Amino acid sequence: MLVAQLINGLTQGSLYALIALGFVLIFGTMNLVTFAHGEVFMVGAFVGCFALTLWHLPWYAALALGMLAGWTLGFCIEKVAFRPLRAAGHMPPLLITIGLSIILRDLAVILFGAENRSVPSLFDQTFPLAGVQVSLLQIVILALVGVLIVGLHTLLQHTEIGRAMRATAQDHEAAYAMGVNVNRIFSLAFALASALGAAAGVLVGIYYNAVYPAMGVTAGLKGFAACIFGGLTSIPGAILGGLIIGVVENLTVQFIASGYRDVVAFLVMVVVLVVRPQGLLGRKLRAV
Amino acid sequence: MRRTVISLVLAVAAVSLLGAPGAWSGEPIQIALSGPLTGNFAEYGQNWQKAISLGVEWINAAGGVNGRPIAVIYGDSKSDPKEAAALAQKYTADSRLVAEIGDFSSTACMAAQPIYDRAGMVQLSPTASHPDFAPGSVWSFGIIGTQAGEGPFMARYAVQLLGKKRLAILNINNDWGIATRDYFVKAAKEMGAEILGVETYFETEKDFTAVLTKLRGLKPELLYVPSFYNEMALMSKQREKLGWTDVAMMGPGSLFSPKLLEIGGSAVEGLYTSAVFFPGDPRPDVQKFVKGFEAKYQATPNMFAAVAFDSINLLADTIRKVGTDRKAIRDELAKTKDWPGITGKITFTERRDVYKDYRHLVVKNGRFALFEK
Amino acid sequence: MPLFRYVPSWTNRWTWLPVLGGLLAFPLLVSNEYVLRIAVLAGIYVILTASLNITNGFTGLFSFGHAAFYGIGAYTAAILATRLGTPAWATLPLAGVVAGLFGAAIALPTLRLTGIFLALVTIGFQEITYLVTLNWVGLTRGPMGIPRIPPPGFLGIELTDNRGYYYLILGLDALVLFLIARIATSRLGRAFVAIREDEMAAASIGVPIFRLKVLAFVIATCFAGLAGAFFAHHARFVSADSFRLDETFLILTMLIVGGMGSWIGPIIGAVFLVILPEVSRFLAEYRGVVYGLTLIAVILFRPEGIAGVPGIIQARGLFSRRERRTPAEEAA
Repeated sequence: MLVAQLINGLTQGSLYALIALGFVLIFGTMNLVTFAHGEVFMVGAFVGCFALTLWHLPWYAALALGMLAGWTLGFCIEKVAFRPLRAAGHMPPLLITIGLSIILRDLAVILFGAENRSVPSLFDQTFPLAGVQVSLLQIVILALVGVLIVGLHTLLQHTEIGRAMRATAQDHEAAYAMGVNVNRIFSLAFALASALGAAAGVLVGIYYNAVYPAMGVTAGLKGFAACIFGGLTSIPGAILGGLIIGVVENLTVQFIASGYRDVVAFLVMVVVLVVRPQGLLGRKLRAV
Repeated sequence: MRRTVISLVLAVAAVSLLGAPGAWSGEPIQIALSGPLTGNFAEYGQNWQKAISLGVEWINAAGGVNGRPIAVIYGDSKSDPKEAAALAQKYTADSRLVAEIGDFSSTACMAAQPIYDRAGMVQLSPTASHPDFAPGSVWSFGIIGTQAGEGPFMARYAVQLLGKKRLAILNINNDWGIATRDYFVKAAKEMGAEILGVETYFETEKDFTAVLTKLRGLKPELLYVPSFYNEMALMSKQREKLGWTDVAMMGPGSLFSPKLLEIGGSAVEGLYTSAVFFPGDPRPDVQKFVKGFEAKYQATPNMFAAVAFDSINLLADTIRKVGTDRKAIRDELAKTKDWPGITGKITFTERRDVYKDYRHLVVKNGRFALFEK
Repeated sequence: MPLFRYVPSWTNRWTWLPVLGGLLAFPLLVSNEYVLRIAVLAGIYVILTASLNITNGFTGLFSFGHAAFYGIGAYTAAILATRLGTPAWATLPLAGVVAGLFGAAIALPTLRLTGIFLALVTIGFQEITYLVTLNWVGLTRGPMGIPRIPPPGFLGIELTDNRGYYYLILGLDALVLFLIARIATSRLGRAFVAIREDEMAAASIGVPIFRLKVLAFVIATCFAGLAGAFFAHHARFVSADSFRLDETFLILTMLIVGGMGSWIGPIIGAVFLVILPEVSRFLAEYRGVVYGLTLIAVILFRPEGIAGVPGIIQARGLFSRRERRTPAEEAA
């Protein structure tokens, strides 16, 4: 049973990691935090659900559509919340993202109802591996997350624009002085982060066969916890954080009680913040 | 500042208009309803609404109650105890409302109970089956039977009828779930069954893979799941995904709903449950209701529609006898004996709940069917 | 003087005595239970918003865990009242004390953090408190909540209608707001503001930064606990669901809309946002959207809110007050 819980944990953890990567991109590049990321995740999940159930699209189209929706939404959020308040520190944009998250969630309830919306089962086959039944879906999700992460890495390390993003993340004033269009980089980072969050949403919806308006709240916070664990600016840290939280959650269910599952992420977040705020692999932080 | 003053004035004006009482005779008799019209239990509440609308239509078409039409004021509680309590405060303060139908879950009912009790207004729940609900206040009534009756019935179904001796339980962690589990477990143990493990989940839980994996390790023959259609459907799908197909699944009558089949699909095939109402019942009053419901809504009524239909008719008949005084309604309701409902004869015990006859159901070929050995 | 500087005192008593008189007379003129209930709700949120103002407004700490202390107060009162039969006049202060103790326990390890980190750690505690409350069924009855909480009774008379509750919350509001006014105009209050404005400068003139931050936090959580106890005796049912992050965001929205850092801002914010959804059915159905839009509009166009200290959120909007004076100019 332990192996089964482990595989479960890694699958879920990879999805947390995807959400966490969004936060890393945003915080790394813009030094800012958004509380609307969970709702972007939720919107992605709904778009994916509709793609599968209403428009009967294949899964890769649903994923692509979800990511596109996330990208667009992220782009708009950056324009509304962050661009007008460039000089205003991190509190005002944070508060606006809080307002946006409230609005998005309420709209989702009004338009779609608060109840679960069913998502069809995909990749249903199971096959034995290391003594347990592994579901094809788990493998597919791990693979897809892997692909997205590799894609992100390639973008950041091996492209012109990726270099610009890294430069901005390191020192956006210096990057600006070197001719980087910092505003565009910020938009890009936010949109990209949102696309990743939305992708996680689509996959979570498929994994649990359900989407519902409140699903972004805890997902966003857990992604945040993973991001903090790894260090707010470290990509490998975020991935590690996500996986660890996913696995520990499932072990908690196995050995303690299922009700305490969510405590894991928050406990991790609190402990890391109190003991070592820069996380496992993050760089030393300037005052923020 | 000006903004604030203006909105304050508007607020006071708007609300004081709301408070004006209406004239009496010829005016409809108003009954309040508190139930989940949206939210995770929306299916149940919407079924209530459909059945009650039908009931009101038939009552009014036949001349109403003592010449006055009946009107139902619908309030959405989402079966959330906070909302149920808030609606209770609103309803009890409105002197035009003579009685209340609701709420759906026992926890929501019990949260609102002290308010109806303090104000003195009948609280008739079509579905609360927790044994502590109705006895909690002289104003509280339940007509679906309690787990004290359903628990032993389901235990007999599992242990004696189906012959399963190794059982595990996964119940929703609230008043109702815990009571349902406890009565089942007590009866099952008396029949010689072995309870291998008990797990709980919260209402909003979506991920059952971890807890199912844990239960699978205990190798039970039957899994008894006090739950509602949403989680049961999800749970069944995830169980299927884990490849755990050699276990029987059973749940109480709360699962008897078409949405379970719709969401659960092939994963709920073979599920065992119970019902106090079955649309195939040949009794003339049941068929009249079923045909009328189908004609109006192009859908077959389920148990929840049936108990709601009984609720409105029972109240209408009671009001017909004693008028619209809240206390008089309560006193007369408590004396109800052998009232002919479509879910069976209703007689309130001194605890103001009822004993019900249950039927064995199973999901066969994607539909609910009576279980035959 | 500008609204955000207003603090009630004996010298300006003719500004607030008539208001107090009006509030006392209100239930004698309006008997509609529904309206009175809204007024009681507004009263609860005034305490919550004003107490959040102590940490987030006066002292500039980003505490996002307020609802947890509201909940701790509510549960304390509920447990004491239903298990031990403690009467309301005792549960209210006890709840405040317990919430304050929790506040101290959380403040001590975490108030060394600043800005977003403090915000995140308070959110973390908020959620942990919620989950523990939900799971510790033996103490809190978990998801079933605690029903049948007795109403407050004084001298053998039980409060049964909203009029009685109204007077009780009015009394509590008066007490809390009076204390906050005293704090605001005292050396302690000025020290809080100094910490917010320029922590390093304050430290250099000898202000005990950490100790005062903790004190601000504890005062705020005490008041929140008090509000929670009242809530428990009013709603007569508590469940963990009422005290989640959503609730903190709601209180925060009230604070921002009303205005941070001033005495009167929280009052305006709480009353306005409690009444707003009641003005029309449309607003009630779109309550979340309305709150979110209001928050966004305020931040974009008038970040200091209706009556808050200008510049406190480090942003200036289209409709903001014109100039920002330094603390030295303000003191003059």
